Amino acid sequence: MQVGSKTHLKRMGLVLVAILALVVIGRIVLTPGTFGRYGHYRAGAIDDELARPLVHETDASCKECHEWDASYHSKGKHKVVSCEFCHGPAATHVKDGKVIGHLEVQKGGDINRLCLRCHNKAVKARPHNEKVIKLVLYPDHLKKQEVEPDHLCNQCHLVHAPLEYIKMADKMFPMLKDKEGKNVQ
Amino acid sequence: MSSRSKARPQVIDKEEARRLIDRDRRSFIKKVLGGAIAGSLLMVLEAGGELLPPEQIPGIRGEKYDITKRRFAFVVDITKCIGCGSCCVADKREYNVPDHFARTWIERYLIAEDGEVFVDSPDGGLHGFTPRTDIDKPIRDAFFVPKLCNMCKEAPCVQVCPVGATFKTPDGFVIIDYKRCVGCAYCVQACPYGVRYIHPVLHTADKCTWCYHRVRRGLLPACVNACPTKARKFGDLNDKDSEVYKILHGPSILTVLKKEMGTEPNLYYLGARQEVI
Amino acid sequence: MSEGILGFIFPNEFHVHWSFMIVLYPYITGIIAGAFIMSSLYHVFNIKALKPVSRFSLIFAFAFWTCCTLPLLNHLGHPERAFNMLITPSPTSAMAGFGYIYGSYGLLLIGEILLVYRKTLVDLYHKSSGFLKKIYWLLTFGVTEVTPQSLEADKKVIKFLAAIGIPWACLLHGYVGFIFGGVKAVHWWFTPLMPVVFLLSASVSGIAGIVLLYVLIMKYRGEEPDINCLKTCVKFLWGFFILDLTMELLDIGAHAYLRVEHWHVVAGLLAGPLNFTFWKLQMGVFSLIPFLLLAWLSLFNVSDSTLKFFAPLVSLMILIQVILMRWNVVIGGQLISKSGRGYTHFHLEFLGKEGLLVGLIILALPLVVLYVLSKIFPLWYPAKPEAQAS
Repeated sequence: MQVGSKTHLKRMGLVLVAILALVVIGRIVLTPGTFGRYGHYRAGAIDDELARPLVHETDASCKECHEWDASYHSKGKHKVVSCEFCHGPAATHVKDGKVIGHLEVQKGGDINRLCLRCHNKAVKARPHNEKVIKLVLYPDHLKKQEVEPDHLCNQCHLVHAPLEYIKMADKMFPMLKDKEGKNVQ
Repeated sequence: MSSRSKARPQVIDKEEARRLIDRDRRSFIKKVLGGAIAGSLLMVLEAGGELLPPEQIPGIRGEKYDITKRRFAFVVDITKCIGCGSCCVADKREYNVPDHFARTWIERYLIAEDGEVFVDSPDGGLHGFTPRTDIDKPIRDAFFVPKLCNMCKEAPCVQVCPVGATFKTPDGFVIIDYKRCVGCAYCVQACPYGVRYIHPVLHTADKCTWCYHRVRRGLLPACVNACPTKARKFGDLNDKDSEVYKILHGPSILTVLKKEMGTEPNLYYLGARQEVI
Repeated sequence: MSEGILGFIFPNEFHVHWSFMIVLYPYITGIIAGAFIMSSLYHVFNIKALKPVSRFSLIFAFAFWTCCTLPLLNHLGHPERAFNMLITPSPTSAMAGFGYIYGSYGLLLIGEILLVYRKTLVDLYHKSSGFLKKIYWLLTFGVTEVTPQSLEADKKVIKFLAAIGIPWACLLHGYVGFIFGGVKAVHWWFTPLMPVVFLLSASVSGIAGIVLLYVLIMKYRGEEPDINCLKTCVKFLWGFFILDLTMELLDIGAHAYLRVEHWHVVAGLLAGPLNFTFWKLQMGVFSLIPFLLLAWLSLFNVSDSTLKFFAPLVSLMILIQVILMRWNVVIGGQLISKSGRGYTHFHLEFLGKEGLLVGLIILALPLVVLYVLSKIFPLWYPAKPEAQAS
């Protein structure tokens, strides 16, 4: 090849073109297949997200096996509390129709802590609306109800349907009616 | 079907699955469970399988789902939030959210008579709230504010993602492509709501997705499902019977967070005081 | 966990995601852009006094260019996916363009260096042997003869490259400023002045870097730096520094005067977490003193030995000012909680993946590269600048 006064410039140009071509080809080859189907992203990522396994199911799933517990849970005030919140997610309990682990059952002091998460009146920011949440001061509530100060919440309140026993007792012994009177139910 | 052999499962397509289901639903599901037919949960789901609990959001499952024609909204009713943290617990479990990060959280606002605002969110409200003892001023207003992804129509995080790894799905969810995210954290800077973080294990961006995987299965987001007072409401705006449709088409005063950012959130608040940021 | 936290911050704000590495990134990019502008002053604007450093500043810029992405790669959660920025750059993202702007800028820099050095490279090709000869053969694209016509053709191309190089350098660094200035969620960043401030501080840091190294290298080689060149450099440094400081203060002044809602958040940042690094260090010690020194060096007829002592000293101070400015911008912006009610805390580790030590190593690497490059591209050729022909 004849070396002219611009040969090196031409060769530089060629290298530049080769680099640009490499970039263009690289982009075409390496762009994922589903990229750009809906927008500037990989549509396959939607399927990836959909493939995420469920951890929580719904109360209906629990009812499949625990029909008896569900029957009174679904009638009481606590029907709005999801089973899985207190007991743990379904995915750690059942897989493909088989029991793979046992869920926790709240006991002892944990019960009180759990109840006060919602019902503690001392946490001021809660809505003071009986329709939303019934608030109590603890341990004032125990004093008012004239029960032992070491009583656990679930000694009077059935956790799945908190007023079940209270109502039952009211019916059986009308003279012992709840000290908080109208506040109940 | 009778033999419990460990033979390789038979791979079938959607049409075949639908035919089998039409013929005998029960035995089909047994086959899937027994491994005689290989099929993802989704395929079964899409064909109307019974492995899932009943639909919580009507009209999602099955063929009628057109990804380009759906609109969803999330409404948080501040007057109903009791700060129990069920949503945070559900969320942490659903996604195995790393400690010290939150996809959703609850803030406690206490506004003093003189207008001073006290906000806190211990562990994002994951363990509930205990009474605040460090304020000796009279309080005039107190409430909880749950926070989560705003699913902006004009999402800054989507705008700034340099590689298209965070994006808005045709049905309006801002989600993350964990296989393409480079972990630059530009989206973390760009989000005005602080809902994003870099996942310490995955080393990619991560955030609340309104439980897209649940919604597309016809189930409510885990936090909505767990909320005992219905302070969190989620639904389909194409469904005129849905609660969110009614709220959005009713007289309630709805606000969005940081309106001045121009992000046009799909997350609305009921009862948010002006102090809420 | 809550150590150093002021007020209320969102739960995801305890961790500052953009670390020291992201402080270094605009710092190094700025030095590249500034050094290039310096060399263009000679190649395009014919400022003859800057001839002694015109080649040096090109190689200097290229040395920093080679290391510019290191802090970024070290910071990325998935550095192995970095090429996604080139494969699927998002047209809406301020960050996505960096790969292409940075890449094309590198090509431009290489092109200009090869042409500016062509005569030297051909010369060295004939003088060298073995492996080095092969390298020179490649660098001359196999054209080992220089004719007056080819030099004439080169001159035109050089002028063209240098000319488009200036806007390109401005784009490279102004753009880096926009990466920050375009984040509306961070009030400390969100200003259209950000690219201007970045650009001006880039020029300042580039010039300062060249002055400092020029004097040091000359001292090391036992030669005398060109006094006229040094004087001109100092004047340019002063000019750019005035503009830089004006813009930095204008940004804050305007917001402080307007007193809109977000100013109170920024004011809290400047009075609190940034009080020391911004007011006392960046604006106090490392702006005021260099400003006065530069004014003195530029306006008064100082002796050569004074100039040779103070020019590198003031350059060093300005290099520190600029890295403090990057720190205050990058880290400062992230300290503000998006809740508007508090400030988070950043602790710079010494060891750690993104710690101070790694940062200092990354800052030192361009100098190592510069040393290696100088073995191939002699910074002054022939060795004595007085005898330099081209």
